[in-house]
This record gives sequence, structure tokens and C-alpha cells, in this order.
Amino acid sequence: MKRMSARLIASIVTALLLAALSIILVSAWLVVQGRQLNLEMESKVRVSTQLAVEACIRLLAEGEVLRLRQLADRYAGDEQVVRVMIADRTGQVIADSRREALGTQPPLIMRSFGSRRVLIEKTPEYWTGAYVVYDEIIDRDLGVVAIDFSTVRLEEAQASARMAGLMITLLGIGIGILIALVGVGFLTRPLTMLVQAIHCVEAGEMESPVEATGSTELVEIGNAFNAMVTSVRQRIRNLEILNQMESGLARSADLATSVEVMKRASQSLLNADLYLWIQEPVSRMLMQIGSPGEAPISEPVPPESDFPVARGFTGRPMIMIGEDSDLPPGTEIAGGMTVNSGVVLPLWTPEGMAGVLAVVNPHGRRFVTKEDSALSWAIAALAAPMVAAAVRTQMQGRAVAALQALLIPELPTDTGADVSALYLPAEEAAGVGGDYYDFAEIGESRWGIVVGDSSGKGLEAARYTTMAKWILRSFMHEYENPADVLRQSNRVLAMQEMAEGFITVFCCTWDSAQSLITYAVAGHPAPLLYSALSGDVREVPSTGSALGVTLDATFTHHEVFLNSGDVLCLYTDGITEARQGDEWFSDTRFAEALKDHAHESSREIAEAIIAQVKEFTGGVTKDDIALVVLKAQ
Amino acid sequence: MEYSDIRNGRNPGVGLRTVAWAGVVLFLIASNFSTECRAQTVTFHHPWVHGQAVMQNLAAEYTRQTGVRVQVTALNPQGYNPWTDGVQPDIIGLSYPNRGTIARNAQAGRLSNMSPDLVQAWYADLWPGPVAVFELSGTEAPAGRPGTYGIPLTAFVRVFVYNREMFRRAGVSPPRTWSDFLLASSRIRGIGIVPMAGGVEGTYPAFPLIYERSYLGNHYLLQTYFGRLPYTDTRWRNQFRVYSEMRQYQLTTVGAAQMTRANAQRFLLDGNCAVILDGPWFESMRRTYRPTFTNWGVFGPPDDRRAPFLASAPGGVAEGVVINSRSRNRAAAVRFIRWLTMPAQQVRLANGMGSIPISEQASQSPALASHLRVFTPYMRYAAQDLRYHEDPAVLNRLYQGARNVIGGTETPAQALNATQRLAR
Repeated sequence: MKRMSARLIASIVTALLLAALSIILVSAWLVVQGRQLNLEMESKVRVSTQLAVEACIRLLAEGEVLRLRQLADRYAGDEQVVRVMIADRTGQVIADSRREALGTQPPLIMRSFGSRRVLIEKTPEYWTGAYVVYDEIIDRDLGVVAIDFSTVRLEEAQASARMAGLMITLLGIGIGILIALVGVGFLTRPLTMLVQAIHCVEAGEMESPVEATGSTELVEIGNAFNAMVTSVRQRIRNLEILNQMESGLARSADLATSVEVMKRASQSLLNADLYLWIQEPVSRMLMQIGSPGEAPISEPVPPESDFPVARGFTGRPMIMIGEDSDLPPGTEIAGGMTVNSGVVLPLWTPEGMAGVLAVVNPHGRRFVTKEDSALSWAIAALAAPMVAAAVRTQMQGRAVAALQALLIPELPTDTGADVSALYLPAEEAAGVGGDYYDFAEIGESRWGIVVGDSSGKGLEAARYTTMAKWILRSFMHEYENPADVLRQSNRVLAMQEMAEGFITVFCCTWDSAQSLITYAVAGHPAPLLYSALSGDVREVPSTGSALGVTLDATFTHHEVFLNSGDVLCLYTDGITEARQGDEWFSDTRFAEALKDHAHESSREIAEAIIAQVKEFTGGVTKDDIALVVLKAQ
Repeated sequence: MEYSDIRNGRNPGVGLRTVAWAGVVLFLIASNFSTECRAQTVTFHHPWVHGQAVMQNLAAEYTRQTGVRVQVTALNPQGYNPWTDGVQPDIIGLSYPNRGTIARNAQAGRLSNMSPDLVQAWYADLWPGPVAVFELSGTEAPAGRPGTYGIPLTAFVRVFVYNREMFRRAGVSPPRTWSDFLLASSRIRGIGIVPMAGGVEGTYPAFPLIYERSYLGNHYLLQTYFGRLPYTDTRWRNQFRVYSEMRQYQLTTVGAAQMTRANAQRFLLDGNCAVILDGPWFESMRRTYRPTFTNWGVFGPPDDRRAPFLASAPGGVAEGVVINSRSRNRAAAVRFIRWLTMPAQQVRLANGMGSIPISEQASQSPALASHLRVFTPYMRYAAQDLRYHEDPAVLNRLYQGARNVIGGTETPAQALNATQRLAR
């Protein structure tokens, strides 16, 4: 069943009410009118009868019957008087305008004797007024005058009144319907506009406010709706800002960038500055993190100090600074930072305290509203896990850097060849990859050279790589054949239950005395060899699976003699798989770069290759790059 | 006269015609002047010898007030005929006129119609009954011109004059109804006197006039007199029942009933009866015959509730005036007559004439003699005498029948049948 609109219902109800009101009023009017007409008729009957009586007194006293009959006839000529009877004091009708009752004694006339008022007898056709002819001076009843008044005019007047009532009722109903339609439309127009505005809000259009018109209640509703829309709009904007902040925090590579993101959000939401303190893991001091290019304002804060920042770090929910707040204006929240108005919020995460946030109003406005507090808390709540992650990443980065330092050795100088190596960590990903290279002197004029790329990223990959490096290095000292080194190392790595990763390795020995490269490959990209004689660049043969995958993996070794000027490039896939959109840097570009710069020193060759890769990717490398260039002399 | 004569300036008849027109103009001026001069003297002839003094005094007063001289002349009431005595006065006085007298003189062209002068302010203060004597209907007035052909100056009414002492002795009070009257008569008879005397005498049978009108009203009386209603009608029989009851209750005797008014007055003054039917003249008899009798009073006709109409006292005009149709001072005469009917003059006139004032205000004036004032309340419906329409012989038989019923020699039916036979 289709639901009726409130306007239609209101119109119908209003029309019915007005119609009912019209009917009631008209009915009341008809009753009053009917009574009025009856009273007028009664009044006419009384007055006319009394006047007739006055004219009859002398004639009745003197027995002027003829003149009484003339009088009766004359009175009966009146439009409403249908009959006049005059009786003598014995009740005998002596004058009758119709002559029928002459000599009779009508009951009404007989009842009139002794009465000093007009008696009225009503029938549907006529009203009879009877009044005794009485001479008060001599105190004698002289007779009775009875007059029949036609009710035709009364009925006509009543019919006219009924017809007028009917017309008024119909008119009232019509006007009622009209008023209902127009009036209710007028009254509900603001509601209609409000509904339209609600639909607009529902569709996301919240720019045009509702025109607050109509009755007081509707104006209040309109104003409240506008205020609500404004509030919702503001909240949506705040949510958008917070969302932007959250996504910005997620994209932030470091804490400084996160602080910058939070500062922008704070400015937008609260028109306030924002400051962040985190705990330095070594010194345990609370250090302010400035945005990029911004120097910290406050001095390091001892966590056990009484500064609000320190107290916030202990877990106190919120410390407000300002008039009538927790702390007065001018409070030094951290060493060297005085605040007149602001709040200090802990950045709490389930793993623990991530830091302390200070939202400071540079204009001195108090943070008093629930909105301010809620927004501050929202910033803190959103920032806490991000800051915690950033701190964690920063800590991991430091650990990785430490590991990386262990993985990237110093370049040896007495290898009998022009050797250079570069390690370029990924630009985007926080942390460190699993790429590395290694040099180990394993005999007289013999050097072991390894380039590896472990699976995964970060601290875990670095740990795995470190482990693999030292395993490989230890077996390089034990076995001369790189294939054996790889086989033994594979066994060791594959047996590591805790190790879930794997590592690809290019392992070779460089015998500078024979200018011989003996190598074995474990799932690693084949190195590029530049032949100075031919000027060509080719891949050296390479077979074998990655280390740590299966226990019984087999590896074969190969030998390559290098002539003077030949260049061997050992690398990880960070070079060939560098991307610009959907296009890879590829072996071809790599080979061309090598070929173009092969006549240069190993250092220049390595830097040129890296430069071309960076140029290709636009400066952002998504994977680690390890590159070893060995140029035979 | 030819056109050429005028053109040539010759008009042979102009001198004679100029003289004729000048004569006419002078005659009209002189006539008007003469009228104005005569307007200063209004002539007034009347037959009221007993009222000449007061009339002359009033005329002198009027002259003093208005400058208009009124010449009042009292003529011998015996054979009084102001229209034939060779003198044509402006105002003519009439004693006890009835409508018949007025109608005859009006039809003879002797009376001036005063209707145009009878404004409401004047008319309203006059007792309507006596005025009606002069009001002629279309059939009575000359050439079908209904109007008022005279004005009463004084009036009379006849009611019951009673001896208070006898009533006291009989233990009765003045009766209001016919039945009370009959009961009172029994009580009065009980103290050995005749209750009522007079009233059914020959010349002016006041008693029958009361109850004829009560039972028949003016209408049926006239119907009877005009021959349209027989005396044998129920109304007459009902009326004659009154005489039977008079006999039955011994209200009067035949002898007492047919006493003349003067004899009845003396009968009352001598203490032989308790009630008579009399008017303002009673005082004259009392003063001359038995001035010590002062304990008397009057009561109106006891109302017979069986009768359809009111038992009203017979009355009419005592002294009335008409304006001579030949009067050249009609306007001045009207003004004088109106002056006479004003309350102040009415009191003086009534006191001087021994009659009732025609003015209602004067009738209630303390200056009016008390013996007159006792009668004035009954002027309200004073019944005029309509008998002039009937043959006197028939009327004589009618009243003879009444007396016979009272005396028991005839039944009402016999009396009425005899009357009716005569009326045919």
C-alpha cells in the first residue's frame, strides 16, 4: 500500500476539520437563526395582537359589532394575517374575517379570559395569538382578539436560512479545501525543502543550506538542520583531514615526514601547532622530532622530569594548559618550550607508549570545546600506531644499518685487478634489503668474491644474509671449488629450521696470477662479461638453484679467463629489474651501459651503471642494488 | 373689437370695462375688510338660560385674552330654533342633542363640518362618547361627506345614586355585578324599603338603555331599529330576562320603576328608596329639596356578565355647539370653541352649568365641583342614545313591555312579540 504524504494527510485532515467546523457553525447559526425567526414571529404575533386589542377596546365596550367586523377584515388584509377573530366577553365570536367561527367559542379564546398576556397556539400552518381585551381602568374583560398569522413567511425565512446555511457549509467546505491545500502547502513547504535538503545531504551535497522559513517551529527545525549540516560538513572535513593525515602517515618514510603530516592536520583541524617527542632508545631521553628542515625547539627531556611532556609519557591521559586548565599559561612543557594554551597527549599503543604529542595554540585560544579535545585525541589516536611504527622502523633501520655495515666489507686493494663495488639500498622501502657482496682472501693471489641476494626485506633478510655470508665465507676458506662452497653452504642453510628464506649467490674465486675466474651460481643472475678484445658483452653461463631451498641441490663450477681490459660485472636483480612504469631497465640496457663505460675504471663503470639506473627510474630505486665490477689488468 | 381698431389705438369698450374691473376689486377689498371687522365679533346663541352668566363671563375672558368679541345670547329654550329666528349666529348651542338632530341639520346644510379643525391635540382630550354624537357617517352626513359637525361643551351621564346610610343598614356595598345587585336588593328590601326607583320612565329610560346596550351593543340595537333584527331575537329575550329578575328579586316595583327622574330623586331624598338612576342634576334637587342629605354616593351600572358587552352608563352631550354653515367668522368661532373646551374653561363651564366637563383633564381637576367629579369616571364608555332611529311608538311599547315584565303582567316573550308586531 502506497503511503500518503504528510501534506496530503494534513490537507485532508484540515479540510475535514474546516468542513466540520463549518457544519457546526452553520448548524449553530441555523439553530440561532431558527430561534431568532421564531422569536421574531412570536414578537410580531404578540405586538400585532396587542395593537389589534387596543383598537378593539372601545368598540367592544360599546358593542360596535359592525365596526369590529370591519376592523377584523382590515387586519386580515395584512400579508401575514390570515384570519382575525374577535369575541365578546362571553367568548362568542362576533367578528371573524372568515365568518366561519361566528357564534362559536374557540378554546383558545376561552382560555384567554383572565390572562394578561398573549396566548400563542402554534400549528404548522399558522400561529394564533389571542389576547384579552381588557380595560384596566374599569377592570373589565371586554372580549378577546385572536389572530391567525400565516407561517408561510416564517417557513420561507427558515428555508432561506437553511439554503443559506447549506451554501455557507458548501462554501466553507470549499474554502476549507482551498485553505487546506494552500495553507498546508505553505506550511509544509519548509518541510518539503527540508526533505529535499536531506536528500541532498544523503547524496553528499551539503553546500546549499535550507531556507529557514515558515512557522517558528519550522524555522527552528531549519536552523537546527543547517547547523547540523554545517556540523556534519565540518566533521566530514575533519574526517577527511584525519584520513589524509592517516594516509600521509602511512606513506611517510620517516618520523620527520610524519610530524609534517600531523602538523598540517593540526593546522587544518585546530589551527594549532603540533610537536612530537619520542624516546631515544639508547639515552632514554625524550627527543622532539621536527619536521623536515625544522630544528627541534625543545631540549631533550628526561623521562623522570616534571615537564608535562615527561608526565604525558608516563601515561597521563591529557594535560591541558591555559586559563582554568590543568596547568596555567606559560607552562614550560619541555625544556625550552613554553606554552600558553595547548594540550599534551600521550601516544599510546597496545605495545606501549610511542611518544608524546603537544598540540599548541599559538593564538592563545583555550582548548575548551569537546570538539577540540576530540580532534586532539583523534590526531593522537591516529598518530600513535603510525608513530610507533615509524619509531620501530627507525630502530630497525639503525639495526639494519649496523648489519649492513657488517655485510658490506671494505674493498680490498690487492686483488690484482681493478675492483670496485657499490651497494645502493632501495629508496622507497624502509629498512634494508638482502643484497650484499663479499671479498675474502683465500689464498695467495686468490680472492673469493660473492654477490648475493636473499629473499625478503628488512631486518629478517639482513639477518639471514649475514648468516649466509659468514657460512659462505667459512666454506670458501675450506673448499677451493666454488661449487663445493655452494653445496656445503646450501646444506647448512637448508638445515636451518628457523630460516624460512633463501639466497641467490654468485660465488667465484679470482686467481689474479692466472687471471682466472672460477665460479658457481646458485639461482643468481648471470654476470656480464665485457671482452676487451671483441668489445662485446655477454653473460657467463650460470646454473644452480638458490641456497637454502633444498638439501641436495647440486652446483657446477665454471672457469673464465680474463684478458686485460675484460670487465666482469657481478650484480643483483635490483639493476635489471629497476622499473619505470611497466618498462624494465633489463639486461640490454645494463649491457650497453657496461659496454659504454668498459674502457673506464671499475669505479667509474660502477657509478655510471648506477647513474643510468637511477636516471631510468627517476631517482627512486625500489630494490637494493649490489654491484661488483672487476676489470682485469 | 377688430384688430385694426387696436392697431389704430381705438378701443371703444375700454372705459366701461376698466370701471367694471375697478368696481370688482374695490368690492373684494371692502368685503375682505368687512370680514376682518366682523371677525372681531363672534355671535353665539344658545338655549342655556341657567348657564348664561358663566357663558358671558367666559366670553368676556376670551375677549380680554384675544381681543375677539364674543356676543353670547341666551334664547328661550322653549321652541328654540336658532335657524329660523331670522338671526344667523356663528355658533349655535344645542341642549342634549342626539345624532338624529345633528344629522338632520347637517343634511339641511345648516352645519359646518369641523373635521378639518379637530386636530389630535384637541380631539384627544375630549370624552369620545359625547363627541361621537356629532360624528356622522357617510350615510348620515350631507352629500356623503362624513365628518364631525359639532363639538360638545359639557356632558352628562346617568349612574346609580344611592343612600349610603341605607346600604350600611342593609349591610351591602355598592354592587359591581348584576348578580350582586340582585342580592343587595334582597337585603335592602329586608330593611323595608324599595331598593330602586325610577330608571324605566317614559322619556329617558336609563335602566333599559344600560342593559340593551350590554346585551345588544350599538350594533344590534341599530340592527333592531333598522328592522334587521327582530325584537324577538334571543339577544332581546336575554336582555328582557333582566326585567324578570328585577321582579323576581323585587329590585323595584312597577310604580317605583316608572317614576320620573324628579320624583325618583325626591323618593330617594325622602328615604323611601336606596338607589335611583341619576346624573349631575341630582345635586340641584338635593340642595333645594333636602340639603341636609349628604350621605350619598354613586356606583356604575352593575355588570351583567352574561351579556356580551359592557354595562355602560347612558350618557351623552349636555350642551353642545355647532358652527353655522353661513358663518362668516368660522375660523374665529372654531378658535373660541376650542378655547371653551380647554381644561380651565371646562372647569368653569361645568361648575356653572352643573354638567360634566367634556375635557378629560378638567374632569379630573380638583377645581371641579365634587358632586360633578363623582360622575366623571363613568364618562369613559358613556352610551349615546341611538333611539332616534326607532319609531317612538315602538320604543314606547318596548318600555311598556319592560314595565309590564317588572310588574308581572307580561312575560318577556309577550312584551317583545308585541313590540315586534308594532315594529312591522
